[in-house]
Amino acid sequence: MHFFRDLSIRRKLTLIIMFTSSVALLLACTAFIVLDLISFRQSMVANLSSLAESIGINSSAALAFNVRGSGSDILTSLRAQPHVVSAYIFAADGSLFATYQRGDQKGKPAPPQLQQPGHYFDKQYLHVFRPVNQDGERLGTIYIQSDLEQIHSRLRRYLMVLAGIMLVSSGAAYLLSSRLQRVVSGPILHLAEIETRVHEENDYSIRATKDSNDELGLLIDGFNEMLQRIQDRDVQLNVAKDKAEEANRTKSSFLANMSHELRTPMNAILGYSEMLMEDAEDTGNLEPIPDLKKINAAGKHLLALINDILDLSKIEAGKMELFTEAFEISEAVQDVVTTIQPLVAKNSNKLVVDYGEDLGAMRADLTRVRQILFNLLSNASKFTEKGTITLDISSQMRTGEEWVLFKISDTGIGMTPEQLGKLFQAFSQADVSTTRKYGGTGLGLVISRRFSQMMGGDISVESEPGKGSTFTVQLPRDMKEPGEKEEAPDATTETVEQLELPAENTILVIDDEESARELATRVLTKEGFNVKTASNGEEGLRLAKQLRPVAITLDVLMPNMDGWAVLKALKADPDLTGIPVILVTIVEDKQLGYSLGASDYLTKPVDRDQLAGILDKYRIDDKPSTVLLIDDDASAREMMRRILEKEGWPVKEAENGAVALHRVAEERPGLILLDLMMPKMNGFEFVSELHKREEWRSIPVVVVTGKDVTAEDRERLEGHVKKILLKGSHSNEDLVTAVRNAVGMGVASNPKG
Amino acid sequence: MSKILVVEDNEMNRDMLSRRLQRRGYEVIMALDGSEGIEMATTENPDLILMDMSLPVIDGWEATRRLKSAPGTGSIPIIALTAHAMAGDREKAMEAGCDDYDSKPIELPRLLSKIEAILQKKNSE
Repeated sequence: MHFFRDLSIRRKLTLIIMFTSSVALLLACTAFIVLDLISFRQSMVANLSSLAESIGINSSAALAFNVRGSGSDILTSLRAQPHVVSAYIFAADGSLFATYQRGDQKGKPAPPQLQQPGHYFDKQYLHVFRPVNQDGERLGTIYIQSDLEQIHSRLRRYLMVLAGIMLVSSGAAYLLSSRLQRVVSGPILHLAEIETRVHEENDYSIRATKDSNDELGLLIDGFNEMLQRIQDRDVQLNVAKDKAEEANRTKSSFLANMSHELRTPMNAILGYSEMLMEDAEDTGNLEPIPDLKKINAAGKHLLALINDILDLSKIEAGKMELFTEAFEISEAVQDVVTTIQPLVAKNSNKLVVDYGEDLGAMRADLTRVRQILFNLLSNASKFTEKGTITLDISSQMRTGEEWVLFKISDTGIGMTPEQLGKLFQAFSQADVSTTRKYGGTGLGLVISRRFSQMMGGDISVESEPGKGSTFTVQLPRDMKEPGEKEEAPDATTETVEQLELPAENTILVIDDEESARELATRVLTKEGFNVKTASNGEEGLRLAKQLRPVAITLDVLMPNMDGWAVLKALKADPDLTGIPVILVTIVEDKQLGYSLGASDYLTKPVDRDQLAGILDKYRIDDKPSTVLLIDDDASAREMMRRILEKEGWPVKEAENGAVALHRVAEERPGLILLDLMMPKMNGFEFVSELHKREEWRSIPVVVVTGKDVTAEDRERLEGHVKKILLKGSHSNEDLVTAVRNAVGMGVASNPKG
Repeated sequence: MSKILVVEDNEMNRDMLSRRLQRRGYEVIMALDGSEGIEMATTENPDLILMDMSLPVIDGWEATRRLKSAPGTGSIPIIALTAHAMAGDREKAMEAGCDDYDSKPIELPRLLSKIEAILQKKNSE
């Protein structure tokens, strides 16, 4: 049934029609044959009965006078009947009177038991008993036995004819059905084809054509109608999308303008009030100072509110960008504590800060972390009088990640469960009267929570009315850059595995034969190489990626993945294609080896000196290449120079892109460390200039910048730089690793000799 | 006495900034738009320029780029002032060649410390 279910509709229909017609034909023919055979049997019985009848008449005289010879003579006349196997005449007393047997019958079979007049069939024969009467007196009984050859031959003939008819009619049915099924399958197949096209071309303007008014026609009408609706909806959606995008653009520019328009007058209010205060102090007229202070404070408050609303709008519009950097947690906390102190003191509260000695550093947006802490602490101060506010900082391992928890508790008025429920909704403070009494927009918590979430964490709260509230901010210690998870690995984000340092002068030996691996290891280790081995192609490729050897020796005949396949894979990988591959094999096909990109070819058994000699070509020059530092900040250059020189790299410096181009022309560096923001010629311009010269294109470039590298920037640098390091967020080790890695690769793809 | 060029189109801000700077002993000259700013920077040779970024005629970004690329004015330090709160303004200003950046509303002590730092660095060179 599975087989049938998966057939195409065309085949299904053809098969169904053929099967149906064949069954009908078979039934009709069978009925005909059965009926014919029945009537033929009847005529056989009638024939044999009349034969017996006539024998009876002929033999009545002989029976009456008991002349046995005459009886036998009469039976002999049955020779004319080829189907009669035997015949007997019984006398009235049941004794055998005369017998006949067809010539081919051997021996003398026993005469059948005398039975009542009539006939019966057994498997092979038809038996007929017929009484011989004269003037109502029973003289004896005739028995005739006939074979059924006639019926059998008739049956055989019929079956042959039937087979013929079935064959011819099946053929005809196939021809007819394969044409006629199109009436049904045609529209369905057409529909299916249209559906596939719509799906593949994503074109909802395609329509199916209808050529009948039956259910299939209705189906096609329905399908077309559906396409029409989708098309209409797409149009509407596109219009709506355009409108929404336009609205979003308008909103963004409105935000930018608003921030400017609102801040400019605030600038004047704050500035002039400060100036008046300065004037008053200078002239000794102290009377207006308290009022001026109020104007200034109100202005600052208004500015804070404006900033809150703008922050929230930016978050909602998805325009808020975070700037992640590494910072000492304790320093950030001290900053906030100092700033919040006047607010805490205002309501006669006491602030207790509690954290262990070694809080360490975290990576997040420092400004936003400060803003969150400030906000929560200022809330706590606002809603607490003559109480204690506690800031408790701890770290915790959870779900394989390290979290930093900031717990801010107060002994203030607290909140009811209903108030808690509305807490993080924009523009809703716990109570309208709260706003009047305590001021504020009620946006601070919303913004703080959004910021926490943007940094991968959250804020939770516990509170009891009259007892106080506890807000807990949890942030990952190492914040993931936005979009970091989704981003596909590209030239700028290297995986950890790739960052593993290539040990100096490593040779990778790929051979399935242990003795060959051992030999190569011995010979090459003696020559001062660091040898790693792989026993099959897959492992070889993995190790090549991981180790970045200076060269690979590769056996050709290996099970599973042979050397040709490994060579092809190595040359197809942009990271590995620069590694020279030496084929070591018993197979004599240098041509293929070189055409696939092999650097050298050695035939087994390998000559030790030859192997060592060839590989010596690929040894990395011990003198490291120069690193060119391009940065306009002299102190940054100085710092990096020190780190790099400590690692043994000669360093050249340039203060901008233009100078750097001269340096590159003087001496081709092995690596360029590039700042992006510089006067005269910035990093972007420099990279594009560098790439104009063919011979400079292969110089690896690592960007070290304090700029917040946007997606757009990455795109501009795409393919031109090896790695981007953010100033301040990378450790010295990162820098050294990146340099070593980039230099290593540059040299590996540029062997001496 | 250091001479500071204030390029600012908003009258109040200009007035306020100039008076407060004068009060602290700086000589202040003023320009109302980018083009005038370039002209005055060239003729007056100030020690420092405070450049608003949203200016008529030639905006602050462009004026900065032109000043920084001209031989006579390239060495004059420029502090960008913007009222834009959008992220990236600082980077944009630095990329245009500004030496420092401050956001409006101006907090005078903060701005003064930046001015002092730049002038000191310039004088020591």
